Amino acid sequence: MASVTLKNVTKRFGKVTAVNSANLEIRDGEFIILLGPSGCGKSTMLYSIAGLEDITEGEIYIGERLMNRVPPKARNIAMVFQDYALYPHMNVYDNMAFGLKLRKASRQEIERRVHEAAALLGIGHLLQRRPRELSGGQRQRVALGRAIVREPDVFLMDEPLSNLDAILRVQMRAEISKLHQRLQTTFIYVTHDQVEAMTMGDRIVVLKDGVIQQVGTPQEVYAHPANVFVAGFIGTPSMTFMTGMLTPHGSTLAFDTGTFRVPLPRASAEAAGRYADRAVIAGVRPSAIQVLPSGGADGVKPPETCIVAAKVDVVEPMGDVAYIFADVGGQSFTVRVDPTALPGVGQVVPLCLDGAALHLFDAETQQAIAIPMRQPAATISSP
Amino acid sequence: MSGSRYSLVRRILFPLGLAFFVVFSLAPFAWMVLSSFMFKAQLLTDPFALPPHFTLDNYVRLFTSPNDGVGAANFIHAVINSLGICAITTVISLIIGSIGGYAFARLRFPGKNALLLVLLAIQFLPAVTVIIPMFMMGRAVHLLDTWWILIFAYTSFALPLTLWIMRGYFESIPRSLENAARVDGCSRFGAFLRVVLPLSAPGFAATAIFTFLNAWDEFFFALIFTNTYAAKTLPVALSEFTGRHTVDFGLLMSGGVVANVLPVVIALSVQRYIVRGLTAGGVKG
Repeated sequence: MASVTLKNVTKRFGKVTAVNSANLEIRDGEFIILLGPSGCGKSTMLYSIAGLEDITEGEIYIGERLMNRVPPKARNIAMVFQDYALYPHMNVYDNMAFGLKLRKASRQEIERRVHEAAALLGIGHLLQRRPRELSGGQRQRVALGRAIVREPDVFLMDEPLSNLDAILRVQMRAEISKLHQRLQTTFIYVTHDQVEAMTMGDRIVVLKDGVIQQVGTPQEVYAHPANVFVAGFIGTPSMTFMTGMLTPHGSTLAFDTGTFRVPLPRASAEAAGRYADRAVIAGVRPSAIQVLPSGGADGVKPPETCIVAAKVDVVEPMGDVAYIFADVGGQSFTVRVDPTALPGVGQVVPLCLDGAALHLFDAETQQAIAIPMRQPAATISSP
Repeated sequence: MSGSRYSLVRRILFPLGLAFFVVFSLAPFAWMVLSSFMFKAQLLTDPFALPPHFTLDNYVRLFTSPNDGVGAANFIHAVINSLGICAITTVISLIIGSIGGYAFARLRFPGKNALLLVLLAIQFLPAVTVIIPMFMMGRAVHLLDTWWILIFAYTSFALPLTLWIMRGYFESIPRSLENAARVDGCSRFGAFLRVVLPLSAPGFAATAIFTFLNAWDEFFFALIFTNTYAAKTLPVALSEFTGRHTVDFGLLMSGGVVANVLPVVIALSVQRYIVRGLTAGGVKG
């Protein structure tokens, strides 16, 4: 078990900078996710920690030890690859024992550890099989087993679930989480799948173009995205972004797109005070927009100011929830709606945009300037 | 309908076609084997008939009679020369070719693609353009009429293709396997030895056969670069059974059979490596 520290780590391939002066402290025993779209440098960062890529600048520590010049085999790490990378010419047992044999572990020790890991993963009956005789899920378990028997300081996983089918992926996701709880070892897990990131990670590192955008717990990253990219990348469907001005509105400020205005609660307005009369980007999650009953108000009447009329373009029922894509003066909104009361395509519905749910970003730097006051509503029915 | 047509093709046309090719390629071979057991008289009178009497006389003469005029007893030297030269050529080509092929497959270095193309271009040079310079060089370093001049020549012809084949083979082995081995405890070279090489066995087998047989069959360079049985190879020795005025068909045929034994044995024994797809199943695919 060990912490992992990156100090100003940069990796260039020729003129391309894959990782740009990354600083990161991964705590001992933490399950950390490197998340980002393809080409964001997350795999390069993982390979650098593994020592499979030499870094161009900076320092990588595992525990207290500087690893820059240490070859992968001496870093006491284990890695699970996207394509499993099982040795085809060895059976499952030998695949799992390979690393231990190279470390000159005793026969009994190897046997004990391989059988323990195999039992843990439910692959005890497969030990004599060759990798080509296994299904995708079984291969994935063997790859995990090969990592576990090594009892490494750090587990590195490079999109280990992306080659599995959807059902198996959900199942293995839970198993890897359980494995982490059981082993209490540092896990560094690369993925482009935000569901994996949100469900498995203690903390998420969001990357784009080789630069770390934000580091935080899944809830922090979701509720307080540091910039427009993180806000758009986390959450499905994505946030709706609008550009507009912050204009004075009574004693506070309002977000004004020219087509409609959304007043901000006092606290947000104070946080965004210096942006008065300046261009900003506002983001709003599909779950934070309410569709009002078109027949008129029954029950709690929302403030008149937040209502905008939107024309429904697309309706996407998903079973327990549904999304509509609705147009307001050329701006498309994604809105979560009650699947039992779907509006028709072409219908005009009144939307309620709550100023407290808006994420505000600087239009130039795209960095967050004001944090929404309340979490997005858990369900659309609760006002 | 389509089923019966399919079975017609499968049951009649396929076997007929196959039979044609088998006869076409094996009949001369069979004739050579048969002839090698015939007496000289019959070979000259009715070479295509099945012989009434079989004899091992041709084989005995091939390896024993020193006074047969063509120096047939030297034939055994030619066999040894061919074996030695071809084996050493194959081993050197495989070692250099695999290490070089690995470098081309895995390492980043400037001019890589240009170098690969140059290697391939060398392959297109006609042998006659290099044989005179090579002869001069061989004479300068006193290697003419030795094994080494032929080993150098054959290795230099074999290497470009060996490099290309091995490079292609290594590229087909997923990098992640090497990475896994390096994380598991191998050095880069250790991963090459323990994971890449075992998986490349089919590639090695194919390349080895190719190199060995090319060298085994080579006649032109062997003829020019050798003049005694210190280094004469089988094809040259066989050609000497054809004199200016006489042809000893018996020795030619038995010599031909001997020269063919090894290639056939090699091809049969390693073909399973060529056929078997060893890498299947190691990675997602």
